[in-house]
Amino acid sequence: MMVKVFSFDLRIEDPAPRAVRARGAVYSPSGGRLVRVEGLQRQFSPEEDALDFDEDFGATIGLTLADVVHSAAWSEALPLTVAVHECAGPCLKLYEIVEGGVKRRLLMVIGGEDGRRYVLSVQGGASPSRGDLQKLAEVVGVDRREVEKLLASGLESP
Amino acid sequence: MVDAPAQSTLLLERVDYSALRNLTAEEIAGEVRKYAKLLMPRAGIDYRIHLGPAPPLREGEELVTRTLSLCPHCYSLLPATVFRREGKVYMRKVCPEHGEFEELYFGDYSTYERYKKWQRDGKGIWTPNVGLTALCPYNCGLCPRHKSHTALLNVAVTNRCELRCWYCFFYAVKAGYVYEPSLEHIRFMLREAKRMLPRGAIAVQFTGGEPLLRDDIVEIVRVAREEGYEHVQVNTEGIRLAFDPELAVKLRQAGTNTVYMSFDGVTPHTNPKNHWEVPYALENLRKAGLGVVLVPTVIRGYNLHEVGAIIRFGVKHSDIVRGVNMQPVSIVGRVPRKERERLRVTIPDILAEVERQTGGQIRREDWYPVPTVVPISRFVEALTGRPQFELTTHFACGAATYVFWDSADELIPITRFVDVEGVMGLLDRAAEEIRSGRNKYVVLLSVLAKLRKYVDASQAPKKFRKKRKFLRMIFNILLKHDYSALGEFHYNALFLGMMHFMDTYNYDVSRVQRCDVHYAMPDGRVVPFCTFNVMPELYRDRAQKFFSYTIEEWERLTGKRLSEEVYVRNIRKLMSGEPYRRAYEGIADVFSIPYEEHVMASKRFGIPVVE
Repeated sequence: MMVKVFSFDLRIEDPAPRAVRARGAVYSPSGGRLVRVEGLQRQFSPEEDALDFDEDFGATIGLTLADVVHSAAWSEALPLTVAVHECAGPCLKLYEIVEGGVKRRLLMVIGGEDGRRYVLSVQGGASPSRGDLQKLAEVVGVDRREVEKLLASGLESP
Repeated sequence: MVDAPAQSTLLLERVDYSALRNLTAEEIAGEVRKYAKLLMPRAGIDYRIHLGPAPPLREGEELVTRTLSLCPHCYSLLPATVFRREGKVYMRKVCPEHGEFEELYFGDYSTYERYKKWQRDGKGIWTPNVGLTALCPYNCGLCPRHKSHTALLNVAVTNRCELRCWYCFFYAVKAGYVYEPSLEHIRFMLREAKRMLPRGAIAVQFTGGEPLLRDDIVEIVRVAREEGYEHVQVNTEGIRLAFDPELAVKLRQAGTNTVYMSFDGVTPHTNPKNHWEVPYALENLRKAGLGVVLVPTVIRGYNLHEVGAIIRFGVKHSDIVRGVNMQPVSIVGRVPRKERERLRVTIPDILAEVERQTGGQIRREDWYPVPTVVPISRFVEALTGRPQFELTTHFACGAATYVFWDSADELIPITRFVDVEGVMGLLDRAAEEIRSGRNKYVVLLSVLAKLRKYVDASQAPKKFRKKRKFLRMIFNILLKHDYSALGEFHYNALFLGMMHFMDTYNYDVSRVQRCDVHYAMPDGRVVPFCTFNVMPELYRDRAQKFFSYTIEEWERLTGKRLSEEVYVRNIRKLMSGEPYRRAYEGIADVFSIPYEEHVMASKRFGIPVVE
């Protein structure tokens, strides 16, 4: 299964001002632990990547290709990079997003048996419910504490 | 009951609607939802994606922004450059197959910048009806990326119409089928839009075709009320209302709040659609106590010169006219650039004309873009802790103001006695204070105390000066924060609005993502106005045809003949009535226009006349 993770620093002035920074990584279960998966980095290609971008950010932080196109830096190449990962089974994407001084973490679990996509958004220092973390952990196939650990250490996690 | 096609809708143009017509709303839900996916636009067949670089700027042009738009010929998604030239805002895009398109986007750059400051985005759709399967705008339903909840839900209840306007290809006779969802099917559509989060639809407009052609239109209004809709309006050309006083009464009693009536001008030349019938419709609405909003479609070189007279007409009939909502023309079909330039008018162009034609009584600064009122919603939301109805449409989509008067000669826009920016700033700050933990009652009291500072009662219309009546109305809106609190405000003012629906030439995906005027689709989807109507083959026509009767089926079921449903106008009789004389008196000298010209205007438009 191909998994894409986007990184960007976008400044949008029109129609509403926004400045969003996002960094992400992919983790997959290995020996009961979540281990970071390395991907191949390349430039964003609207035709290939826009739908995946909208999937990750359209409903979660209200950012879509149309917003990216509005970003001040956009000319020939969009100010986005994509890291493409290959995952054999379920995996977890972690995004750290900063907008207006507020940090938000997005946890996305994909590739589970039910084919569904689970998203958990954690704003600032809020603590997500154990039930939500448990659900993500079950789908990805690790202990809940692994997800908690990842959430606590963020993208610094190996 | 109805078999879903095995592979693709390409093989199935329509279901057997006769088999659906007697099902309950729950049964309908089970039958029709499965078609939503199949009726979606198809990549490579209905549209293509061409996302190369946006067109470069040329000499004398300054970049405003870049966006995504459509090719007017093939609906392909294209990058577009929005730029400023000689004080106006334009859009340019290039389709690899069909070449370059340049279009006026907004008639005044300074108004564009002023309006942009008011943009507020919504909370999105938490319960989308469709998954993400395509780029915007080929994925409507609403999809998870949509930014605004439904402010007004449109439900098309028929594609029949008794008029044969020359430009329309939509009505049943020309389309070749009859789209007329059953009462229970309409109930299903209302429920689909109502259950959406964070805010379900609470306002619905029944539209068509001509919705008043349905024998059960009163029952349809009743169903909307049963389903919890707080505002129900009916969009009509008013012909039936002119001749059937009982219909207005029944609509009112069933729960209709407003009639939304086409009204393009004050003379037969500018309003051949219903110039002669409007006075009678108003008379009947007046007797029924049913308010009406006049809706002119404004076209350069056609009726732009009458926008002031239309407002004066609204003021003259303000006992029953609640508002005038102007719609700058949306150019449908393939139209050459020169012809588009001749017709095209945008919001700032109309604002300038309103200012000129009202002798400066309503100035362009008196209008604000739609999202200006979002701070009211955000403040109430902070107070109640519940997501509120909010108008987060794109700033370039619409503008509005309110006017008051002591005499019909002196219009007083709300901005003369209310510091709109001050009030909205106050509410913005107050909402932030509550969100950051300050006691909400303390904040509310502080807001009520400070509000006085932003209302200059000495400049208000006389009827509002006594006992601070205007302030009390605003207090009620903030304290009661419900729909009824707005009632008193509306009954004492004339709402002036503008809503610029897009077309393929000026299409902006950023606008459609923020659209809050939606259509209920017969398969359960909810689709923004400007995808439903701008790409009709991909949304409106495809879905309506799919759930339609053949003309023969419909005639067999109803015992009616579609070809006989043609309105023939008796101009002489209509002009001889007292309501006609009274309606235009002091607005336009309609009797100085020779009778033959009246007849010619009607016939040229496509409406036959009894001579």
